[in-house]
Amino acid sequence: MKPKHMSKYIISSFLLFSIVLTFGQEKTDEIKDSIVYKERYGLRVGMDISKPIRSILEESYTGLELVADYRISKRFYIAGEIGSEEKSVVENNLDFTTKGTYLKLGADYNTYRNWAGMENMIYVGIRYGVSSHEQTLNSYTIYNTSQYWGEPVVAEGGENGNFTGLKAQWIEFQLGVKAELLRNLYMGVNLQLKRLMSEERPENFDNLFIPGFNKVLDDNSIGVGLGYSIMYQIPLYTKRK
Amino acid sequence: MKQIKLCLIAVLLVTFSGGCEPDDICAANTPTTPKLIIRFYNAANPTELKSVENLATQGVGNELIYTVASTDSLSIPLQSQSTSTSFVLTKNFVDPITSDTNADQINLSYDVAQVYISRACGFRAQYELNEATIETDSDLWIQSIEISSSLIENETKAHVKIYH
Repeated sequence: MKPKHMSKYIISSFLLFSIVLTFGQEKTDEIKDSIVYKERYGLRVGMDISKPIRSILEESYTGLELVADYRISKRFYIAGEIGSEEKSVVENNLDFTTKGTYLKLGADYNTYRNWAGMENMIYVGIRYGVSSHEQTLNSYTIYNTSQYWGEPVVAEGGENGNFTGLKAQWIEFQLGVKAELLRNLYMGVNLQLKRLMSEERPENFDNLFIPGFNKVLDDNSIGVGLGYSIMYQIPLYTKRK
Repeated sequence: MKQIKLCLIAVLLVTFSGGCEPDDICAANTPTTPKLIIRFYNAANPTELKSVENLATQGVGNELIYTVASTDSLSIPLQSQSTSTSFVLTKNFVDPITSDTNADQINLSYDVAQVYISRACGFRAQYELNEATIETDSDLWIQSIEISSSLIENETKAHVKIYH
Protein backbone atom coordinates (compact mmCIF):
# COMPACT_ATOMS: atom_id res chain seq x y z
CA MET A 1 0.00 0.00 0.00
CA LYS A 2 1.31 3.40 -0.91
CA PRO A 3 1.26 6.23 1.62
CA LYS A 4 -1.36 8.10 -0.38
CA HIS A 5 -3.76 5.18 -0.16
CA MET A 6 -2.99 4.70 3.48
CA SER A 7 -4.08 8.23 4.48
CA LYS A 8 -7.28 7.75 2.45
CA TYR A 9 -7.94 4.61 4.42
CA ILE A 10 -7.35 6.31 7.77
CA ILE A 11 -9.59 9.28 6.98
CA SER A 12 -12.42 7.10 5.75
CA SER A 13 -12.25 4.83 8.76
CA PHE A 14 -12.42 7.92 11.04
CA LEU A 15 -15.52 9.06 9.21
CA LEU A 16 -17.11 5.67 9.58
CA PHE A 17 -16.36 5.63 13.32
CA SER A 18 -17.87 9.03 13.84
CA ILE A 19 -21.09 7.92 12.18
CA VAL A 20 -21.28 4.88 14.45
CA LEU A 21 -20.65 7.11 17.50
CA THR A 22 -23.41 9.50 16.47
CA PHE A 23 -25.80 6.63 16.15
CA GLY A 24 -24.86 5.38 19.56
CA GLN A 25 -25.49 8.84 21.05
CA GLU A 26 -28.98 9.03 19.65
CA LYS A 27 -29.82 5.59 20.81
CA THR A 28 -29.12 6.27 24.54
CA ASP A 29 -30.95 9.57 24.40
CA GLU A 30 -34.07 7.76 23.38
CA ILE A 31 -34.26 5.77 26.67
CA LYS A 32 -35.77 8.07 29.29
CA ASP A 33 -36.18 7.60 33.01
CA SER A 34 -39.79 6.85 33.80
CA ILE A 35 -39.47 7.34 37.64
CA VAL A 36 -39.60 10.87 39.05
CA TYR A 37 -37.60 11.39 42.25
CA LYS A 38 -38.80 14.10 44.53
CA GLU A 39 -36.50 15.82 46.99
CA ARG A 40 -38.13 16.64 50.29
CA TYR A 41 -36.31 18.96 52.60
CA GLY A 42 -36.76 21.86 54.93
CA LEU A 43 -36.56 22.17 58.66
CA ARG A 44 -35.67 19.22 60.88
CA VAL A 45 -36.49 19.55 64.57
CA GLY A 46 -36.02 17.09 67.36
CA MET A 47 -34.42 16.34 70.68
CA ASP A 48 -31.35 14.69 72.05
CA ILE A 49 -32.78 11.52 73.56
CA SER A 50 -29.60 10.59 75.44
CA LYS A 51 -30.19 13.41 77.92
CA PRO A 52 -33.62 12.38 79.22
CA ILE A 53 -32.41 8.76 79.37
CA ARG A 54 -29.36 9.85 81.36
CA SER A 55 -31.65 11.94 83.61
CA ILE A 56 -33.53 8.77 84.54
CA LEU A 57 -30.47 6.53 84.96
CA GLU A 58 -28.15 8.99 86.69
CA GLU A 59 -29.32 10.55 89.93
CA SER A 60 -26.86 13.42 89.76
CA TYR A 61 -27.87 14.56 86.26
CA THR A 62 -30.87 16.30 84.66
CA GLY A 63 -30.79 17.53 81.09
CA LEU A 64 -32.80 18.34 78.01
CA GLU A 65 -31.71 19.45 74.55
CA LEU A 66 -33.65 20.48 71.47
CA VAL A 67 -31.92 20.23 68.09
CA ALA A 68 -32.71 21.64 64.67
CA ASP A 69 -31.23 22.01 61.22
CA TYR A 70 -32.33 23.81 58.07
CA ARG A 71 -31.05 23.06 54.57
CA ILE A 72 -29.78 26.15 52.79
CA SER A 73 -28.04 24.47 49.87
CA LYS A 74 -27.48 20.97 48.63
CA ARG A 75 -24.62 20.43 51.10
CA PHE A 76 -24.94 23.13 53.74
CA TYR A 77 -27.29 23.21 56.68
CA ILE A 78 -27.73 25.82 59.37
CA ALA A 79 -27.80 23.85 62.61
CA GLY A 80 -28.17 24.48 66.29
CA GLU A 81 -28.94 23.09 69.71
CA ILE A 82 -30.52 24.65 72.78
CA GLY A 83 -30.53 22.94 76.13
CA SER A 84 -30.54 22.96 79.87
CA GLU A 85 -28.48 20.82 82.23
CA GLU A 86 -27.97 20.28 85.95
CA LYS A 87 -25.13 18.14 87.24
CA SER A 88 -23.76 17.33 90.67
CA VAL A 89 -20.22 16.06 91.04
CA VAL A 90 -18.53 14.57 94.09
CA GLU A 91 -14.74 14.67 93.91
CA ASN A 92 -12.26 13.62 96.59
CA ASN A 93 -11.88 17.13 97.92
CA LEU A 94 -15.03 18.90 96.80
CA ASP A 95 -18.68 18.49 96.00
CA PHE A 96 -20.50 20.89 93.68
CA THR A 97 -23.63 21.35 91.55
CA THR A 98 -23.80 23.26 88.26
CA LYS A 99 -26.99 24.22 86.49
CA GLY A 100 -27.76 26.41 83.52
CA THR A 101 -28.73 26.75 79.91
CA TYR A 102 -26.79 26.83 76.66
CA LEU A 103 -27.16 27.63 72.99
CA LYS A 104 -25.07 26.31 70.12
CA LEU A 105 -25.33 27.73 66.60
CA GLY A 106 -23.44 26.85 63.44
CA ALA A 107 -23.49 24.88 60.25
CA ASP A 108 -23.20 21.31 59.02
CA TYR A 109 -21.57 20.23 55.78
CA ASN A 110 -22.88 17.00 54.30
CA THR A 111 -20.14 14.84 52.82
CA TYR A 112 -22.50 12.03 51.88
CA ARG A 113 -23.68 11.76 48.27
CA ASN A 114 -27.30 10.76 48.59
CA TRP A 115 -29.25 8.70 46.17
CA ALA A 116 -31.92 10.79 44.56
CA GLY A 117 -34.73 11.66 46.95
CA MET A 118 -32.77 11.04 50.16
CA GLU A 119 -31.61 13.49 52.78
CA ASN A 120 -29.20 11.35 54.78
CA MET A 121 -26.04 12.89 56.12
CA ILE A 122 -22.51 12.04 57.11
CA TYR A 123 -21.43 15.45 58.20
CA VAL A 124 -18.88 17.69 59.78
CA GLY A 125 -20.22 20.61 61.73
CA ILE A 126 -18.97 23.65 63.55
CA ARG A 127 -20.74 25.44 66.39
CA TYR A 128 -20.31 28.51 68.50
CA GLY A 129 -21.56 27.72 71.98
CA VAL A 130 -22.55 29.98 74.85
CA SER A 131 -23.74 29.09 78.31
CA SER A 132 -25.27 30.95 81.20
CA HIS A 133 -25.03 29.02 84.43
CA GLU A 134 -24.58 29.01 88.18
CA GLN A 135 -22.49 26.80 90.41
CA THR A 136 -22.97 25.81 94.01
CA LEU A 137 -20.10 24.58 96.14
CA ASN A 138 -21.79 22.17 98.53
CA SER A 139 -18.81 21.08 100.61
CA TYR A 140 -15.05 20.77 100.44
CA THR A 141 -11.99 19.87 102.45
CA ILE A 142 -8.90 21.94 103.04
CA TYR A 143 -6.14 19.98 101.37
CA ASN A 144 -3.43 19.50 103.94
CA THR A 145 -0.59 17.01 103.75
CA SER A 146 -0.37 17.08 107.56
CA GLN A 147 -3.32 15.33 109.15
CA TYR A 148 -2.23 16.14 112.74
CA TRP A 149 -5.39 18.17 113.38
CA GLY A 150 -7.55 15.94 111.15
CA GLU A 151 -8.99 18.50 108.74
CA PRO A 152 -12.78 18.14 108.67
CA VAL A 153 -15.05 18.60 105.67
CA VAL A 154 -16.26 22.19 105.38
CA ALA A 155 -19.99 21.65 104.96
CA GLU A 156 -21.15 25.20 105.58
CA GLY A 157 -19.67 28.67 105.69
CA GLY A 158 -16.21 29.28 104.34
CA GLU A 159 -16.18 29.34 100.57
CA ASN A 160 -19.42 27.36 100.33
CA GLY A 161 -22.22 28.96 98.45
CA ASN A 162 -23.84 29.82 95.21
CA PHE A 163 -21.90 31.49 92.41
CA THR A 164 -24.29 33.04 89.92
CA GLY A 165 -23.97 34.90 86.61
CA LEU A 166 -21.32 32.57 85.21
CA LYS A 167 -20.77 32.39 81.46
CA ALA A 168 -18.70 30.44 78.98
CA GLN A 169 -18.09 30.51 75.25
CA TRP A 170 -16.63 27.78 73.13
CA ILE A 171 -16.05 26.52 69.60
CA GLU A 172 -17.25 23.02 68.87
CA PHE A 173 -16.55 20.56 66.07
CA GLN A 174 -19.00 17.81 65.32
CA LEU A 175 -18.70 14.63 63.36
CA GLY A 176 -21.90 12.70 62.84
CA VAL A 177 -24.52 10.96 60.82
CA LYS A 178 -28.25 11.48 60.33
CA ALA A 179 -30.31 8.78 58.70
CA GLU A 180 -33.97 8.59 57.72
CA LEU A 181 -35.49 5.61 59.52
CA LEU A 182 -39.14 6.21 58.66
CA ARG A 183 -40.60 8.75 56.26
CA ASN A 184 -39.48 12.18 57.59
CA LEU A 185 -38.15 10.66 60.84
CA TYR A 186 -34.39 10.85 61.32
CA MET A 187 -32.00 9.45 63.86
CA GLY A 188 -28.65 11.11 64.39
CA VAL A 189 -25.49 10.43 66.33
CA ASN A 190 -22.56 12.81 66.67
CA LEU A 191 -19.28 13.22 68.48
CA GLN A 192 -18.36 16.66 69.75
CA LEU A 193 -14.95 18.16 70.38
CA LYS A 194 -14.99 21.53 72.10
CA ARG A 195 -12.47 24.19 72.93
CA LEU A 196 -13.22 26.75 75.60
CA MET A 197 -12.62 30.29 74.33
CA SER A 198 -13.59 32.44 77.29
CA GLU A 199 -15.34 32.03 80.61
CA GLU A 200 -16.52 34.02 83.57
CA ARG A 201 -15.20 32.15 86.57
CA PRO A 202 -16.56 32.20 90.08
CA GLU A 203 -14.43 34.16 92.54
CA ASN A 204 -11.89 31.87 94.25
CA PHE A 205 -13.36 28.82 92.52
CA ASP A 206 -13.60 27.52 88.95
CA ASN A 207 -16.07 26.42 86.29
CA LEU A 208 -15.76 22.66 86.74
CA PHE A 209 -18.77 21.77 84.62
CA ILE A 210 -20.36 23.95 81.97
CA PRO A 211 -23.81 23.13 80.56
CA GLY A 212 -23.39 22.12 76.90
CA PHE A 213 -19.62 21.93 77.27
CA ASN A 214 -19.51 19.17 79.92
CA LYS A 215 -16.61 18.47 82.27
CA VAL A 216 -13.86 21.08 82.39
CA LEU A 217 -10.44 19.64 83.11
CA ASP A 218 -7.82 21.25 85.37
CA ASP A 219 -4.98 21.36 82.89
CA ASN A 220 -6.58 22.08 79.50
CA SER A 221 -9.58 23.72 77.87
CA ILE A 222 -10.79 20.78 75.79
CA GLY A 223 -14.24 19.31 76.24
CA VAL A 224 -15.92 16.31 74.65
CA GLY A 225 -19.52 15.32 74.15
CA LEU A 226 -21.96 13.10 72.38
CA GLY A 227 -25.32 13.75 70.82
CA TYR A 228 -27.95 11.15 70.05
CA SER A 229 -31.00 12.70 68.48
CA ILE A 230 -34.38 11.87 67.00
CA MET A 231 -35.58 14.48 64.49
CA TYR A 232 -38.70 15.08 62.48
CA GLN A 233 -38.38 16.69 59.07
CA ILE A 234 -41.00 19.26 58.23
CA PRO A 235 -40.98 19.00 54.42
CA LEU A 236 -41.22 22.68 53.58
CA TYR A 237 -39.95 22.11 50.07
CA THR A 238 -40.67 19.34 47.59
CA LYS A 239 -38.58 19.56 44.49
CA ARG A 240 -38.57 17.41 41.37
CA LYS A 241 -35.10 16.19 40.70
CA MET B 1 -27.85 3.81 53.67
CA LYS B 2 -26.02 0.70 54.79
CA GLN B 3 -22.92 2.82 55.27
CA ILE B 4 -24.81 5.26 57.49
CA LYS B 5 -26.27 2.50 59.65
CA LEU B 6 -22.80 1.07 60.17
CA CYS B 7 -21.58 4.49 61.26
CA LEU B 8 -24.42 4.80 63.78
CA ILE B 9 -23.49 1.46 65.31
CA ALA B 10 -19.79 2.31 65.39
CA VAL B 11 -20.38 5.60 67.20
CA LEU B 12 -22.63 3.90 69.76
CA LEU B 13 -19.98 1.28 70.50
CA VAL B 14 -17.32 3.96 71.01
CA THR B 15 -19.63 5.76 73.43
CA PHE B 16 -20.33 2.83 75.66
CA SER B 17 -16.74 1.61 75.75
CA GLY B 18 -15.49 5.10 76.67
CA GLY B 19 -17.86 5.48 79.60
CA CYS B 20 -15.18 5.15 82.28
CA GLU B 21 -12.88 8.04 82.96
CA PRO B 22 -10.08 8.15 85.52
CA ASP B 23 -10.54 10.32 88.60
CA ASP B 24 -8.50 13.46 88.83
CA ILE B 25 -5.68 12.97 91.29
CA CYS B 26 -4.03 15.79 93.19
CA ALA B 27 -0.36 15.81 92.20
CA ALA B 28 2.02 15.25 95.13
CA ASN B 29 4.07 18.37 94.38
CA THR B 30 1.05 20.72 94.49
CA PRO B 31 1.61 23.45 97.11
CA THR B 32 -0.99 22.73 99.76
CA THR B 33 -1.74 24.22 103.16
CA PRO B 34 1.60 25.57 104.49
CA LYS B 35 2.95 24.85 107.96
CA LEU B 36 4.22 27.53 110.32
CA ILE B 37 8.02 27.59 110.40
CA ILE B 38 9.78 28.47 113.66
CA ARG B 39 13.52 29.03 113.98
CA PHE B 40 15.30 29.03 117.33
CA TYR B 41 17.89 31.72 118.07
CA ASN B 42 20.31 32.34 120.90
CA ALA B 43 18.84 34.95 123.26
CA ALA B 44 22.35 36.12 124.16
CA ASN B 45 23.36 36.52 120.53
CA PRO B 46 20.15 37.17 118.50
CA THR B 47 21.69 36.51 115.07
CA GLU B 48 22.94 33.05 116.00
CA LEU B 49 20.76 29.97 115.55
CA LYS B 50 20.60 27.79 118.65
CA SER B 51 19.37 24.25 118.67
CA VAL B 52 16.91 22.93 121.30
CA GLU B 53 17.77 19.52 122.79
CA ASN B 54 15.05 16.86 122.68
CA LEU B 55 12.29 19.29 121.82
CA ALA B 56 8.84 17.73 122.03
CA THR B 57 6.02 19.55 120.24
CA GLN B 58 2.40 18.93 121.06
CA GLY B 59 -0.72 20.82 120.04
CA VAL B 60 -2.97 21.97 122.88
CA GLY B 61 -6.15 19.93 122.60
CA ASN B 62 -4.45 17.11 120.73
CA GLU B 63 -3.47 13.90 122.52
CA LEU B 64 -0.68 13.09 120.13
CA ILE B 65 2.86 14.44 120.28
CA TYR B 66 3.62 16.01 116.92
CA THR B 67 7.43 15.61 116.89
CA VAL B 68 10.40 15.03 119.15
CA ALA B 69 13.74 16.24 117.79
CA SER B 70 16.90 18.16 118.62
CA THR B 71 16.70 21.00 116.17
CA ASP B 72 16.90 24.75 115.54
CA SER B 73 14.03 24.64 113.05
CA LEU B 74 10.46 23.48 113.54
CA SER B 75 7.46 23.40 111.25
CA ILE B 76 4.03 22.99 112.82
CA PRO B 77 0.53 22.70 111.32
CA LEU B 78 -2.04 25.33 112.28
CA GLN B 79 -5.75 24.55 112.60
CA SER B 80 -7.46 25.83 109.46
CA GLN B 81 -10.93 25.69 111.03
CA SER B 82 -9.94 27.99 113.89
CA THR B 83 -8.24 31.38 114.22
CA SER B 84 -5.84 30.31 116.97
CA THR B 85 -3.61 27.36 117.71
CA SER B 86 -1.46 26.70 120.77
CA PHE B 87 1.50 24.37 121.04
CA VAL B 88 3.42 23.15 124.06
CA LEU B 89 7.15 23.08 123.36
CA THR B 90 8.97 20.85 125.85
CA LYS B 91 12.73 21.14 126.18
CA ASN B 92 14.86 18.14 127.26
CA PHE B 93 11.94 15.79 126.78
CA VAL B 94 12.96 12.37 128.10
CA ASP B 95 11.15 9.46 129.64
CA PRO B 96 11.08 9.45 132.65
CA ILE B 97 10.86 13.21 133.04
CA THR B 98 13.88 14.81 134.73
CA SER B 99 14.31 18.17 136.45
CA ASP B 100 15.71 19.59 133.18
CA THR B 101 12.43 18.99 131.36
CA ASN B 102 10.64 22.28 130.81
CA ALA B 103 7.32 22.81 129.01
CA ASP B 104 6.36 26.24 127.64
CA GLN B 105 3.22 27.07 125.71
CA ILE B 106 3.11 29.37 122.69
CA ASN B 107 -0.14 30.86 121.40
CA LEU B 108 -0.61 31.86 117.79
CA SER B 109 -3.56 33.85 116.49
CA TYR B 110 -4.19 34.41 112.82
CA ASP B 111 -6.68 35.01 110.03
CA VAL B 112 -7.41 32.18 107.61
CA ALA B 113 -7.99 32.53 103.87
CA GLN B 114 -9.22 29.52 101.94
CA VAL B 115 -7.78 29.55 98.44
CA TYR B 116 -8.99 27.39 95.54
CA ILE B 117 -6.30 25.15 94.02
CA SER B 118 -7.93 22.81 91.51
CA ARG B 119 -10.67 20.22 90.95
CA ALA B 120 -8.40 17.44 92.16
CA CYS B 121 -6.88 19.22 95.17
CA GLY B 122 -9.79 21.36 96.30
CA PHE B 123 -8.87 24.26 98.58
CA ARG B 124 -5.89 25.13 100.73
CA ALA B 125 -5.56 27.40 103.72
CA GLN B 126 -3.31 30.42 103.90
CA TYR B 127 -2.68 32.36 107.11
CA GLU B 128 -1.97 35.90 108.18
CA LEU B 129 -0.35 35.86 111.64
CA ASN B 130 -1.70 38.48 114.05
CA GLU B 131 0.00 37.62 117.29
CA ALA B 132 2.49 35.17 118.78
CA THR B 133 2.70 35.05 122.59
CA ILE B 134 4.22 32.93 125.35
CA GLU B 135 1.85 31.62 128.00
CA THR B 136 3.17 32.87 131.36
CA ASP B 137 4.50 30.25 133.78
CA SER B 138 6.95 30.17 136.68
CA ASP B 139 9.84 28.69 134.74
CA LEU B 140 10.13 29.83 131.13
CA TRP B 141 12.93 28.55 128.89
CA ILE B 142 11.68 30.70 125.99
CA GLN B 143 12.73 34.30 126.55
CA SER B 144 10.91 35.94 123.66
CA ILE B 145 8.93 35.23 120.52
CA GLU B 146 8.76 37.39 117.43
CA ILE B 147 6.88 37.28 114.11
CA SER B 148 9.38 37.64 111.27
CA SER B 149 6.97 37.10 108.39
CA SER B 150 3.27 37.41 109.07
CA LEU B 151 1.98 36.00 105.77
CA ILE B 152 2.08 32.20 105.73
CA GLU B 153 1.59 31.12 102.14
CA ASN B 154 4.57 28.84 101.64
CA GLU B 155 7.24 27.01 103.61
CA THR B 156 10.30 28.65 102.12
CA LYS B 157 11.19 30.95 105.02
CA ALA B 158 10.74 31.30 108.80
CA HIS B 159 7.55 32.94 110.02
CA VAL B 160 8.35 33.05 113.74
CA LYS B 161 11.62 33.44 115.68
CA ILE B 162 12.02 32.10 119.21
CA TYR B 163 14.88 33.31 121.40
CA HIS B 164 16.11 31.11 124.25
